[in-house]
Amino acid sequence: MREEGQISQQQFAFLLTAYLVGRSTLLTPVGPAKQDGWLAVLMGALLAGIPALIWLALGQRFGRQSPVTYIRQTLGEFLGLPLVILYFWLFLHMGAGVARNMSEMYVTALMPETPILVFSAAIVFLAASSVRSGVECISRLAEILTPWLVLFVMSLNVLTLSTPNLVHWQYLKPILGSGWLNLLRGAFLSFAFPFSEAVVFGFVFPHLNDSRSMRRYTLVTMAFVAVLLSVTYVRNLVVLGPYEIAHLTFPSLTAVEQIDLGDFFQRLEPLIILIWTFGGFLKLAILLYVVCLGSAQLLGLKDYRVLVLPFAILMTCLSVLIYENFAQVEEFYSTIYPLYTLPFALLLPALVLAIALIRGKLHVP
Amino acid sequence: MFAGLWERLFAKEAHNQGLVSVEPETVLTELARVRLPPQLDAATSLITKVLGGSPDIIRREITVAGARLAVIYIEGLADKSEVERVLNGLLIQRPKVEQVGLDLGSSLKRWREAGLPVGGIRSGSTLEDVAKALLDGETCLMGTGWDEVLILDTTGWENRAVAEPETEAAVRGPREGFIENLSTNVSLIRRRLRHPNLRLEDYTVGELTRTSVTALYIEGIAREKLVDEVRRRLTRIKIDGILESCYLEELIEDAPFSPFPTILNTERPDVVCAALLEGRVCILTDGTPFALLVPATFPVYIMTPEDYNQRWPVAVGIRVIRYLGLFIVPSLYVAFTTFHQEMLPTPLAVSLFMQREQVPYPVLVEAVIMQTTFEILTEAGLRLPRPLGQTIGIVGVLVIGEATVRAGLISAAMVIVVSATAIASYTIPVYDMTQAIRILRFPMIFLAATLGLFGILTGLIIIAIHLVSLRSFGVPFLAGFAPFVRRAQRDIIFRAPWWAMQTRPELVASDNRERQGPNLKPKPPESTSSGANETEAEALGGGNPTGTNGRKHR
Repeated sequence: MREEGQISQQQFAFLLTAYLVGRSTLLTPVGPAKQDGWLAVLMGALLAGIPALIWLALGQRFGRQSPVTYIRQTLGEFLGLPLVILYFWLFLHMGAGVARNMSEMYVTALMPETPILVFSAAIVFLAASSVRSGVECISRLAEILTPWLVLFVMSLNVLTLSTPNLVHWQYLKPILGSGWLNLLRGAFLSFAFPFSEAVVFGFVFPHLNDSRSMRRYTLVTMAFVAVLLSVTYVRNLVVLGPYEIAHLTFPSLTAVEQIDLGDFFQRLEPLIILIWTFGGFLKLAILLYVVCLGSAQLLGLKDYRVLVLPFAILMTCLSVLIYENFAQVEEFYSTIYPLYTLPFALLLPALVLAIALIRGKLHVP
Repeated sequence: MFAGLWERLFAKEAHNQGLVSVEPETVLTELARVRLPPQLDAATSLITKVLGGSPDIIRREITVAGARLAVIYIEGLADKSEVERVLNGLLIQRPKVEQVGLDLGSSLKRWREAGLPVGGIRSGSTLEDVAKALLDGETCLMGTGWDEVLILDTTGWENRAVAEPETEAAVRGPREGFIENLSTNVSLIRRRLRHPNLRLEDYTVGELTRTSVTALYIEGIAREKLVDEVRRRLTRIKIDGILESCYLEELIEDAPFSPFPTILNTERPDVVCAALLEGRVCILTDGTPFALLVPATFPVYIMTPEDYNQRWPVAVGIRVIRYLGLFIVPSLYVAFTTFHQEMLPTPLAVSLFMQREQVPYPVLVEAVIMQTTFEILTEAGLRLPRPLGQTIGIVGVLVIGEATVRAGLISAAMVIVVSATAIASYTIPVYDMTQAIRILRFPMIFLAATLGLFGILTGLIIIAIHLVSLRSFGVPFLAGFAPFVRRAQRDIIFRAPWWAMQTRPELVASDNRERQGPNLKPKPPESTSSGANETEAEALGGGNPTGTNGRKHR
């Protein structure tokens, strides 16, 4: 198995940021929480600290070993191998979901006459070519693209909030009006999406060339993204109101369309499209990379590159097949998705960590 | 009778009496095996035959103190005045020569010691040595009975004067540029880097052109591995001829299929010296004023020596403008007018579409036509003789542009977009990079026309993927951007003042990276009394003619 390239800590932070931000301004299913959605996001991030810490502990403990190896080691081949394959399925599914969301957005908002497949194929192909060029390529791209991504998100927030007559701060009230239970439900959803999607980074830890401050970088990045997403949700909320947010297809797009500062800062949708494209692309690249590399490890291949094209095609086809229409997407993400990702993000790594601790494995320096 | 006729009918005419073959690749190696005959006449006529009996091979036979000597050189390659000086020396310095004795090989050493008035003397014994020497412009001195030939260094041919390079003129900075002569170019560099650590390595490349190529680097700053890699790539070249450094460039570059150049070329010695000081390697080729610099990263292509010769605030501003110029592209226009009309401000959209009313084809076709026309005009402008060039420039831009807009073939906005793009692209100082961007413009226009904004983003990401994987002699092409090195930010988009650039670029130089001492920021000197309280008389009366706060006075 070819020893792959390294990622520096900065690049890791950038990758994680892009991954988490990428799609989250597109879909923010905090459903029941309504006007407390922003609180839900923050709480979800807090909750997500738990699996993050578990994965970090695993990463520290097993150092250079990929989860593909240590899951099988800890749980035994009989149990571990199917679980690892399930993880790959999860990533493929997530990737297909990302591609599908993005294509839906492009088709709905920009070019209604183009079939979804075109966009899916295009963006998966882009991700595939960057995966072929290696992990260094992906991480360098992240270094270049993520600052712009964050900059645009922040500037869009600022611009929206400064547009006169657009902002209705009263939509924030009543705080906790829907009750604690709804807030918790919302938090749970936010925990699932996007934070537990970062489970894929557990598979990326082995590539860090310097794992000393792994914990700090990960947690700080998650906190930063949480705040960013929370502010974005507030922005959507105060512009559109809780009813609209729940019923619009793309609340962010609609919110951004309303920006109008002095007749000049108008029609800034390209910025949001840019954000989503970059974020989605990086997300797909990482997911595809992990799947290809892991499968190559499992199959004992010398080079993971042969697998890139087949998995890319698979992901593209999946993206078209998995949902019938957007309503289904919403429903899936609101109800099934959190329960679906919970075992992968939390339960399984907890189990692995527990068993590893019990067996008393020594620290790998 | 007819037996021998067939052979003689088809026998090859051997110019050199069948001594060696005439295949260019093997001539010199075969000549290396032939020694010169001792008789003077035979030797000179053999040499002339080997070189094809050209009329510019000049033979002078002189008799010095009773012995016959022959001097051969090629007119035009050897400096005639040098040769005359040698001959004068031989004829006038006769008494000394007679002392030395004129007999045979043993006196060869003494001929050398006899002090011929010439720069360098060496000896050669085979036809190959003689042929190469003559073709390099050296003169051969032969005597009866000598088993070796004296080769005198008289090389000198017509050269251009050292002048400012046309393609890389600077507002402030030296007005010297390389010329076609390798030794002059080397001297232009040596004049600026007068340190023993400047190393030169000579190579001869090209079977038929035998071009001299020199690699320069500063030992201790340039990485050993880099120098080895350059050496390795230069020595593996086997080609007919090297006429320009571009041939070399294509044979040693990292990514032959990439539109982006990975080796920088320049005509300016100050650019070369700056690069050498950073640890890069320079490759000079005889016969062309363009020097090659490796490794070359992306920021290098946006830099000019003016960035460093001007003061800091100005330099930073200008550099930022250059970077911005990269982003003006026709594909944005195509994308917005084809797909995203709703994103244009309403008055602008209305006027754009009014203009396009008359144009019978979609924006894509318009853009391609306009861009192609512009490329044709640019190319034609290069070939026109100078007096015509300016006229055509005015005709091309104003009249043709105006006429096509009036005729309804192209909308005025498209003309503006394409011209603005072209002008913006000329801010990029290095021509190779401008070419790369020109090439990429067409696919981007197509992507914009098919998939709109998404297409442009796709194109950008593809270009980014390519750039990110590109390497130049081991250094990542986007070094400094990605991998992001905070220290390198001092010289990529912005430029720190000279007193802040403490270290050399990390990814290029070896470990020896301190290039200047600390605390170099200039500070005005401490003044004992504050300037505001000082009266004019006191300042003038003070001993120091410039005054403690720097005011000069007569």
